[in-house]
Amino acid sequence: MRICIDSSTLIPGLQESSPDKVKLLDMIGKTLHLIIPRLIAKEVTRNLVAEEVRKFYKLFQEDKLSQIIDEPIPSALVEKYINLGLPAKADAFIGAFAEWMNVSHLISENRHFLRELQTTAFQIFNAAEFIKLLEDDA
Amino acid sequence: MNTELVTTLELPANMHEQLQALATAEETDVVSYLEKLVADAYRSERWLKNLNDLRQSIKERGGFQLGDTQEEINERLRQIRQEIFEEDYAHLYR
Repeated sequence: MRICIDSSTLIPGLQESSPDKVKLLDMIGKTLHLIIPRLIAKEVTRNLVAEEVRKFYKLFQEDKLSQIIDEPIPSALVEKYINLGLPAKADAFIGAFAEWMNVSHLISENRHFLRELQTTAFQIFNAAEFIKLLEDDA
Repeated sequence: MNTELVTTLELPANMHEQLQALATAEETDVVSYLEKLVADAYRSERWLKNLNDLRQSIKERGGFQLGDTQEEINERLRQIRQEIFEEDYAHLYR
């Protein structure tokens, strides 16, 4: 299952401040494939010191587990996500990325994604909801 | 298949049948299928090791310092996202 995890979920999972987000990150490599745009990687690394940045990128050295994508997202797709409920272009960029990369789920704690985005291209959950979905399916 | 392997492994018959079925479904043989399972397990272990190594460093430093609640973290991250987007991406989407 290919998923995109927003920085609002990634950061609590990395600093171990929320059990659901910790559990979600622990599951990468078992049944989940993580794919994020460079924008999300930068949001995380902007708050890390140099040695931690090196360790963060080490997580993305095996494409089969996790990938950071650099390619620019087509502008028409970004416009589409502005019209689908994400007026901030930076948020629309993340929504467009999720569709462009054909992810099954976008995991975020950001209410703009959870409450306002209307799309059938992928499902949007917070970490707790997504963990429950996986456990119910198991 | 790695032809240098010399170890013989005894499996319960039903487990061998299940492995054979799984291997057949993936259009490979049992040994190659087992090699894939072992490689996947090592990859997963490396992910956890690297992840916990990073977590330990972040913990020793006292966390990200972005806020005490999820709402505070979200708000700070919205500002950071906007800053990075303006710096690196906005010119592509004018």
